[in-house]
Amino acid sequence: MTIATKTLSLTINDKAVGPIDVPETMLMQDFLYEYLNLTGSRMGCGQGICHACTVVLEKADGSLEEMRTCITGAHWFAGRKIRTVEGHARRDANGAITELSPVQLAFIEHFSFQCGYCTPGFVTGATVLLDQLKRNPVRREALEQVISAALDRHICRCTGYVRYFEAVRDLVLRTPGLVRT
Amino acid sequence: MNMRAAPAELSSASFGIGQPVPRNEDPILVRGEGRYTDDLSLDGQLYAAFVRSPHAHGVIEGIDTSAAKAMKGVIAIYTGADIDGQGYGPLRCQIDLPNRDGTPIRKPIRMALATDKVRFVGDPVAMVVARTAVEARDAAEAVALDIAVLPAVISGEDALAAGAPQLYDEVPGNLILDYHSGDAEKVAAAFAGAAHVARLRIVNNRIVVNPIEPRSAIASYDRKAGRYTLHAPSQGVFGLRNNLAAAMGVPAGLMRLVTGHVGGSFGMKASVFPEHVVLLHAARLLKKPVKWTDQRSESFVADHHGRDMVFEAELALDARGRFLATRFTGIGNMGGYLSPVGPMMATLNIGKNSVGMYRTPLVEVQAKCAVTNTPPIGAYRGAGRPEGNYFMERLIDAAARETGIDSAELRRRNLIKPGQLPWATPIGTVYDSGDFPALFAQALEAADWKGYAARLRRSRKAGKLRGRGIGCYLEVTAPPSNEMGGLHFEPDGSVTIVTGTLDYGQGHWTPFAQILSSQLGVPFDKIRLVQGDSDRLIAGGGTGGSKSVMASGSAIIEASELVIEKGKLLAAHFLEAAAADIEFTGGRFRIAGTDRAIGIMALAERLRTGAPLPSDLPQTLDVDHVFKAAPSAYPNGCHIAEVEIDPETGQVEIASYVMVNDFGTVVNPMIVEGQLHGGVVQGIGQALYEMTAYDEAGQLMTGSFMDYAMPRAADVPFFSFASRGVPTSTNRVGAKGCGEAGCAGSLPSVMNAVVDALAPHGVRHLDMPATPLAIWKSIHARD
Repeated sequence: MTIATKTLSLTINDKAVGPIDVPETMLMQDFLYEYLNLTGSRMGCGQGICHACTVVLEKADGSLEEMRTCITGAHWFAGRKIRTVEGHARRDANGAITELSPVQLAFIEHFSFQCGYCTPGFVTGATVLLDQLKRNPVRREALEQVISAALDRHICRCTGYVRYFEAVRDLVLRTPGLVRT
Repeated sequence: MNMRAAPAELSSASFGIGQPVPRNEDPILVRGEGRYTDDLSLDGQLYAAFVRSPHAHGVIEGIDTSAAKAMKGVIAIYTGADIDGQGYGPLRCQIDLPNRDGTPIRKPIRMALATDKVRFVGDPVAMVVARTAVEARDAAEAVALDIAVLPAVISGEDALAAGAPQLYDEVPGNLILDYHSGDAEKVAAAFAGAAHVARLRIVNNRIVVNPIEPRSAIASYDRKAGRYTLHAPSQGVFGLRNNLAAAMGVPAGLMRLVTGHVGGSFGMKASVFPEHVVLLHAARLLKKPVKWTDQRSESFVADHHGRDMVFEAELALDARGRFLATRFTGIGNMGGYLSPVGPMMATLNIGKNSVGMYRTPLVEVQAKCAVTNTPPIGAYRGAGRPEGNYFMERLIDAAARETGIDSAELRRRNLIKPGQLPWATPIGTVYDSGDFPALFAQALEAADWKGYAARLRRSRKAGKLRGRGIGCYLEVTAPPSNEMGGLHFEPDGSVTIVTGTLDYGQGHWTPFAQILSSQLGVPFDKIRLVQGDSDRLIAGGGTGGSKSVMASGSAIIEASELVIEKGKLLAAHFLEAAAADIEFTGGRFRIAGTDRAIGIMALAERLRTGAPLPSDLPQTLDVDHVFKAAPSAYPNGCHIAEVEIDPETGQVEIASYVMVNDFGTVVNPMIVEGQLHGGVVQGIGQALYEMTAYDEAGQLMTGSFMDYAMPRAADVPFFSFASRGVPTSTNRVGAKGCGEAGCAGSLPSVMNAVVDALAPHGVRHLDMPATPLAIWKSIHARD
C-alpha cells in the first residue's frame, strides 16, 4: 500500500510554498510541522476544540479568518494564503525580526501568557478579531462581550484569561476605528 | 530587537527585587518560537505509539502482535514480556508513611508495561515502533489484546467495601495505607465536651490535569558510552534524571535528561512515566532515537489525575465559637497504581494544610488510601494543600450557619494574632510570620463585606440568588530540598545562572535574574538561565510545592556571596590593596574610603583576557554552590467571592472576586499576580465545571474537551488583587511561594458563596463541581 499524494502549492507568511508532494489525507498541522518546520501552530487536542493550532487565512477580499489546522487537511489550503504565528512580526531582508505585531506587543505588555503553548492560537484569534472590528466596528458597550466571545473559543490552562482579555481590550480601544462612538 | 533599553547603571534599580519586570521569556514564546519537546526531531528518529487497555480491570490472557508486526513501516513491538528481565523498574512511589499500627505502607510493584493484569482504561500494555507516527498508530490498533475482563471498582469508598473487586493479591482489601496523625483521645475528649460540632461529608473531585502541551518524549542511546538521553518535559531535570536512571537500572551518570520549554504541568510532568522506560528500551535495542507524543484522548486516560478524595470533616467549637479540635476521616483514591507522591495528598498534606491561620489546638487525620481501577492520582496544583484547606473552610461556614455566628466573625475569633507568633501548630509546623487579622480585615474591606445587603437585594429583585463566601488559606510549601546555585561568568560577557528548579510556564529566568542583579549588580540583560539539562547540574530539588523562588532564589543569594568573597581577593590583587580593605557595593569592588574601584563585569573581563594570576588566587569568579534545604514557608491569604445564580437554569456567575495575599517578599509582582489568576481559575474550574465521570465499567465518560468542561474566558471574573506581604525568615529571599495558593483560595471562597446562595433553599452543602444540573437539583430537592 502506498500513500496517495498530491502536489500542494500555497502562500505562507507572504512566501510561495510548493509545489510539494503531500499525502492527500495529511492534516495541515502535520504539514506545517513535518514539511516546513513551522512548529508554532500547536497540537493541543487534535479535535478542533482548544484552538492552539490556528492560523490566519488571508482571503481574496483581504479579510481574515481563523482556521484550525489540526482538523483541516493540508490540501484544503491549496492556492490559498495563510499566516502562521511565525509570520506576524515584521522582518528585515535577512529574516531578522524588526517589530512584533500590535497583538504580540500587547500580549507582552500585559503579561498575557505563561507557558506560551496556547499563545499562537490567541495571537491568531486576536488578530482576526481586530480585522473583523476594522470592517465592522462594535458599539463600545458591546465590546467586552465581543472580546469575551472571541477568546472563549481558546483554551488556556495557565493564565485565567484576564490578561489576554485586558490586552485585547486595550489594543482595540487604542486602535482608531474599531469602536463606534 | 531591544525590548528594554535601560542604561546599564540603572539596571539593578530598574530590574531589582520587587519590580514588575517584563519577562525575558516572552518575546520567544509570543513569536511561536518556543521549543517544546514535540518540536524537536533527532536524525533517524523512529516513532512510537502505545497500545492501551480498553478495559478498567482484567487479566491479560494474550497479546497478539503478529498482524501489527506485518504492517508497513513497523520496526518493533514491545510488550511487558520483552521489558521483564531487563533489570528495569519498578516505577517507584516515594512516600514511606507507616500505617497507624506501625506496619509499613503497601507498595504494589508497577512495571512499565502490564504483564499479568490491566488496572485502568489506558494502562499501557505494548508499544509499537514504526518509521512514521501514522504507521505506529495504525499498527497499535492492530495489536489484538485478549483480556479476561474483571469487575471494576471506581471510587475509593467502593474499593474498601467488603466484597469489592481486588486489584492486587498483595494488597488485601485494596488498602494501601491506613494513616493516622494526631492525639485521638484528646480529640475525642474535645468533641465530647464541645458546645457545638459541625460535620460535613465533603468530596474533593477528581481532576484531569490537562496542560495544553501533551506529554512527549524522545529517547536515544549512545552505545559507546552506554548512556541514555531522554528529551522530555519535566519539573526539574536533576531529580527526575535520578529516578529515570533507577527505573532503567543504571547509575545516574548513565542517564541524561533534557527539558526545553514545557507547556504547563501543574505537578503532573514531574514523574517517571511508563512510556519513558519503554522508549529508552527501544532506543537502546534499535540503535535509533525513538519519539512519542501523546494524543489528547490518550492524555485524558494515561496522565496522572489530581485530587479525588472524600472526607468526613468535623469541627468542635466551644460556646463562644472558639475552635477546639478538627477531625478529618476519609479516603484517598490512589488509582490503579501508586504515582511517586500518590499517598501524600490525602494524608500528610491534609493535616498540614487544614490548620490554616487558626488557633485550633488539636487536629486528627485518619485517612485510608485505596487502589481503584482508575488512572493513578498524582500531584496537581497544591497536591493536598487546597484539599485540606477546602475541607476546613467549608466546615467553618457550616459551623457559622449552624451557630448563627457571622462567618467572618467566626473566623476572626479564631485567627492567630501577630503577637502570638511564632506559633507552633498541633501538626508540628511553626508559623514564623504574617499578620492574619490585618490581612483578613483588608480583604473584608476590599470586598465591601458590610455593604453586602444592598447587593443581595438587587440580585433578588432581578430574580437571582446571591451568595458570598470567604476562603482563607495558609499553605505549607514543599518540604526542604537542596538546590543548586551556579553562577558562571561566560566568555561572551554574559552571566549564566545554573539551577535545578524548572519553569513550565511560571517564568523563572526573569525573577532569578532580578535577584542576581540585586545581589551583584550584574546588568539584567546579561543574565542567562540554564535549568533543563541534567549534565549541567550538581544538585536540584526541582519545581513543586511552590518553592522555586525560595530555593533557587536562596541558592543565587548564597552563590552571590561566594562570588563577592572571590571577587574581593581578586580586586585586592588588581587594585594593589589588602583584601580586607575591599568593599563591594553597587556592583563594584572598591578600596574602602577611596574612589579606586573595579566593577564586577570589568573584573570578570580582566580575568578572561588578562595575564595568568598567581596560583593562590581564584582563577575565575565562577561558583557552583549547593544551597542546603530551607524549611517550608507559610504563604497565606484571604479570598472572597460573590456569586449570582439563576434559579431557573442553575447557572453560576462569579459577580466579584477579591484576594489579599501574603507571599512575603515578592520578587516580581506581575508574575505573582499572574500565578494567582491562573491558580484561582483552576480552582474555579474544579469548583464549577470540571467533572471526571466514569461509568460502572470504568470507562471515562468525559474524555475530551467536548465533554470535560475546562474553564473558558467567558467563565472567569475580573480580580481585585492585593499583596500584604510579611517577609518570612525561613529562606534568604523572604518569599513564601505563590504558585499553588490560587487554588487554595478559590475552591472554598467560590463553594462557600454557592452554598450561601442556595441556603434559602435549605441547601447545607453541595459537592464540586457545582454544575448547573447539580445546582438545579439542589434547589428542587424538596419539591
